[in-house]
Amino acid sequence: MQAQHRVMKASIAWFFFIFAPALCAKPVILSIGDSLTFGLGVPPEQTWPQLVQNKLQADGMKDAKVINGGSSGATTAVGLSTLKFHLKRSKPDLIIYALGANDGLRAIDTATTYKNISQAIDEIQKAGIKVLLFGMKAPPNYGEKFPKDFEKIYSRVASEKKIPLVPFFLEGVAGDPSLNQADGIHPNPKGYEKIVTKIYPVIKGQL
Amino acid sequence: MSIVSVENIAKSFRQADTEITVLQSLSFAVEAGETLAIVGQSGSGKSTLLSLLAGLDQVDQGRIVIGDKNISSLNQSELSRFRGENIGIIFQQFHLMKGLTALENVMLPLDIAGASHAEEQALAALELVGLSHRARHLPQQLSGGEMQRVAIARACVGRPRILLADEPSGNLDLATGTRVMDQLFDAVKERGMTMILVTHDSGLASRCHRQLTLQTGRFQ
Amino acid sequence: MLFRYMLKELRNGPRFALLFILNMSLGLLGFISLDALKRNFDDRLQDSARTLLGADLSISARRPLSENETKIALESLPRGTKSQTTVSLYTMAATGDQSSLVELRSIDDPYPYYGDIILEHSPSHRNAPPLSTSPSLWIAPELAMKLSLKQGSEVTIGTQKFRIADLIKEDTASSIGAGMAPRIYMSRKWLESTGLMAKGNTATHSMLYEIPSEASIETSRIALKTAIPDASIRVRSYQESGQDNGRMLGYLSDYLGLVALVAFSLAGIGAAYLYRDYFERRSSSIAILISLGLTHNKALLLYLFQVCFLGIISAIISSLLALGLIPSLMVLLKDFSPVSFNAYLPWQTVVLAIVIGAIGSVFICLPMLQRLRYLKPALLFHEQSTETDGLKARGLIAYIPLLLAFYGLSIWQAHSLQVGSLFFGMSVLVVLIFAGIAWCFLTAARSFSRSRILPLRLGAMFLRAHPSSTLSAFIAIGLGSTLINLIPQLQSSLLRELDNPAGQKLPSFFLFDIQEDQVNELQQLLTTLNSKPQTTSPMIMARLTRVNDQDFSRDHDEKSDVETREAEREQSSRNRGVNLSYRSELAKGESIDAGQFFKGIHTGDSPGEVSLETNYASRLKIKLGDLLTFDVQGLEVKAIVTSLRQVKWNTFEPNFFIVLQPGIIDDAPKTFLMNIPDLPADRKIPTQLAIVKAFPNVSVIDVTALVAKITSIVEQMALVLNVMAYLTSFTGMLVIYSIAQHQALARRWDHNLLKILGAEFPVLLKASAIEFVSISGLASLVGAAIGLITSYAIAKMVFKGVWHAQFALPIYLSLGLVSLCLVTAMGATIRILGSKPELQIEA
Repeated sequence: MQAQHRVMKASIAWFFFIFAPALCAKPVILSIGDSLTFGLGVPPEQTWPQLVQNKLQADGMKDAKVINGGSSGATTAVGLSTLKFHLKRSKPDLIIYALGANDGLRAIDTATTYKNISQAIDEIQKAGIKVLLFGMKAPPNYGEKFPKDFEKIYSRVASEKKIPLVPFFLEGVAGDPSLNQADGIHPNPKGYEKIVTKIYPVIKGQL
Repeated sequence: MSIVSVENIAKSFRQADTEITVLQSLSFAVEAGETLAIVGQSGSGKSTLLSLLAGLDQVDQGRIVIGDKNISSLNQSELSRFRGENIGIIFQQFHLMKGLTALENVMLPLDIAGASHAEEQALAALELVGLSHRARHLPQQLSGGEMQRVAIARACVGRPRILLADEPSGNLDLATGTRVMDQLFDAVKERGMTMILVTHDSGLASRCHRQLTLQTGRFQ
Repeated sequence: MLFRYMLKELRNGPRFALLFILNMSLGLLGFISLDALKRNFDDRLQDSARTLLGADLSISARRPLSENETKIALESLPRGTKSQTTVSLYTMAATGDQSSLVELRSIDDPYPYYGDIILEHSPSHRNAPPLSTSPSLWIAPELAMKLSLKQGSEVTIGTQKFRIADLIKEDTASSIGAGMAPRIYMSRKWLESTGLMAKGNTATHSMLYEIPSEASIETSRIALKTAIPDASIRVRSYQESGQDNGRMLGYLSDYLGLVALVAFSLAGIGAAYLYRDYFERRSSSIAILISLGLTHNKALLLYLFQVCFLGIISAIISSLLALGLIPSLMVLLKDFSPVSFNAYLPWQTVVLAIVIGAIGSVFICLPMLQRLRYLKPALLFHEQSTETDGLKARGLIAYIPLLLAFYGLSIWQAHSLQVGSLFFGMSVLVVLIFAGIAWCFLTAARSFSRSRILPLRLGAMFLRAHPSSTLSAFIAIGLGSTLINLIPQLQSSLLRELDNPAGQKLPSFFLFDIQEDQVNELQQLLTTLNSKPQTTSPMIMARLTRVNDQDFSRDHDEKSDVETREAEREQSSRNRGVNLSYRSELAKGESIDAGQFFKGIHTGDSPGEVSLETNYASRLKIKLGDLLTFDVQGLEVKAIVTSLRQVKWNTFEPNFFIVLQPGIIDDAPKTFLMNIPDLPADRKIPTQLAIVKAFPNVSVIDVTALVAKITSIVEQMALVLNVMAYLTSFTGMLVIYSIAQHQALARRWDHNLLKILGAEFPVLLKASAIEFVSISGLASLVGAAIGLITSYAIAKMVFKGVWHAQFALPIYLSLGLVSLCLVTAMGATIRILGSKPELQIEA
């Protein structure tokens, strides 16, 4: 009996060993975001979705694809329609939700932003797709209350929907002039490379 | 000694496609102080000869020497200056400047030459032709005879060595013409000028020391 | 005395002198008025542009400028330069439980160096207590209304409480574009205490500089840029801030420059014609002077002096006229700038007019005067035959200075080698055309010499008896007619271009970031607020990745050097993405320049159609038939350029450079833009607040001030266009009158002779009428046709506008010109025929 158990365990292990890579052989990731995702001011090959795709392919996932669903100026209000547009066409393996920066810059009412993000996450989960939430911060010059309230949105949504969260995906890049363009808001190619070194392990871990 | 020497000159004009020879192989000389009449019918070339002598046109061939200057070799500026200093011209149609008074008309050659005391000299010239009392009058206010006398004064005012007159009595009636010609000859004599006169008036021609008849561009 | 004689000659022939001076004065009047206007504008525009920046120069960055950077910057500028710091940022202003986004500008006390902030309770902020005295603010009225604030209210910025010192009534230093949030001013003294400047803030730090008046701004700007090579620091001069105003003024003044050139050309034509006739009459006087010893060259100088004198008198008269005209023009244009214009005639303009008057007159008359050098005084002699010699080659050389001067003037007035050369080339071509037609006309007149109708025979005889005079009159009238027709045609085209399309209402608000599912609700809300959007346009963000399968993201120009700040900016702009829209029809104010707009809705997998705005396409070097590839949310979309569009700049519609055929990307994630017109001032803020409350994500920008300013500028441009066009027409009519008058009087000898020979009064009058109607009629009609064609060429090639011809206008103008010629000629002829015949008429 013990020998049969051992064989079964080995077979199962072999099964997963052989077939596990095939389960994630062509991961398709959809990134929904704003100009930070779109890559305002940098060429398409230097945006973070493209850099992540490159890394995945280098890591053996030769057919990995990261769809850049970024749109300059987008707020969380457009998140839902963007999702529906993409979900009509395909079912990605993972959706990275990176909206909200413009809500912060325009000081949009935090309740509205929270509602928009929640609805979008609900939609993703209803479709049975994994989601990774990228959090944002409002700049400190927006006072005490608003930045605090704004930042809390992400942790609240992540906690309520039980989804992984990268609390601030510009961590270590925002505020560093050498890693940003002249406007001080959008990272330059070096900045995006640094962002990707931080977020890549998290993304890969979701696959 | 000759003051004017014309040596084998010829002159032609172009009219449409035709070349018209006006003067051919013409030679003559004029002594200082002499009055010479050049007579001939209309179209004989008298006025052309006069314009060449005045340096207002260039010969096609030959040369004209006035004093010791071969005027055929001078350029336009030199000719103008030479003419202003040495030649006085009287026209049949007077050719006074309408906007100037008699005195101002007579002063013109002196002003052009930049001479001083022009007004005094001009008044003296007008006195010579008996018109000093009309000095301030405009040509429109003068009779034909008076206008020609002003023209004579203008021609003489710079004390030129040569006087050229083109049908000077042509536009005047007989009586006036005679009177004006008297004053012309008096002025020439008084100032010791040499005069070459073009006319078809035989009476006027006979008043000169010598006559030459021009016919079809040649002297008879 | 000779110079005095020259002046006496003019006094004795007053008609010529008066007409010449009148012609040149009117022509110069256009020049002077325009030049004075431009100088006035330049002065005021400099001031206006300075007030926009609040300084002569500025440097700014999204980070604090280090001590070293500010030191180096100041050292690179001229001694005596003043400097101050401002820090601008977006933040929240809170009162009670309400808060609003605001644009905070923290300033030092001498702010700004130029311009004013006009407060409710103080005509200028410089008279009000400085903000540094205590924690206080000046706030925009929209904020006051939104948060129910008034003077003395308390508001919290960051961790600091502030008192509202006053409300802003007008801020001349505000950008001509509207901002995202209401503006408030605070002293920099209190900025740190707000706690807003922690690491990661998005404030813009600026240094403003006031340069000593004698120093050159451009030199200082270049020095500053060289001293600060860091691309993250932006260097600006006030000249760049005022660029939009300057562009509009440039457009207006270039057009006016051409108008003034046309008026001056007309005057020149009239002057040349008059002088030609005058000079021919002077030939015997000149011959007399030469026979009396005056050299040809000196005679030329004397007559040049005479012409110069006439030109200078004309310039002085036109300056005096301009002194009367300029204030009226200033009244028309007083709203162009926040600072009102002074109605003064700059001395430089008067000097310019005198120079152009004197030199212009000389050049215009030189072709006639040059004949003086070849004048044969032998003509004074009785029986002297005149030689017909080859003067033509020498005569043509005398036109060269005039042509060169005209060419130079055309380029100078048009501020463009292309436009100036085009105008010059067309003018020369038109002259040659008229010369050819005039020659044919004279040849045709021969066939009427055997007519049985006596007046017709005599009329033809008059024309043929004076061929050069007839030719001159024909060319002059024809050119005059061309120019008189050209300007109103251009004016009508431009005015139509400036007009708003029928039914167009001026916008009060632009709304953007409207979600698709919000459009209907928002429209319903606006209806309840008694507002209705004029247009609702979808907008989709995309990247233009390839053009004809060539990568677009990098500039393929080998010359570009990515090390430079400018090249870096250019590179960055290529990677900004594009805004796409889609619709099935052209918008109001759009027209097709090339190709065809979409045929139906796109279906299937083949590339769809795309329409580009013409100038945008040419900037990107894209043409009809090119295949564009867009990346829309990771989806590749291909479309072929099937049309190029022209958009009227004053329609105030959202202007999409790229419009796709419906059916290609209709379901892509999009936002909508709306344009809301016609809101009365008292309803604006309540409407704005209601929209934002119901749709917090929707941004509302108040463009009323901007739109009103542009509209007012457009209206005044139209007025100025009209004034200059009337001036040109009047000049043209005067020129035609001068020519007709002179031509008629030149027939004196002919008329007197025929009268003596027994011709009757009515016959001579009819013959004269036939002569003038035939010259002026044919010349006017040909001129009108050429004017129409020329206006088409200029409208299409130069002003890149639509051509709106008025076909009735050439007919009215031709009738007018012919009537003018006829009436003038008949008047002169009747005077001649009514007086005693004199054949001995002195030249």
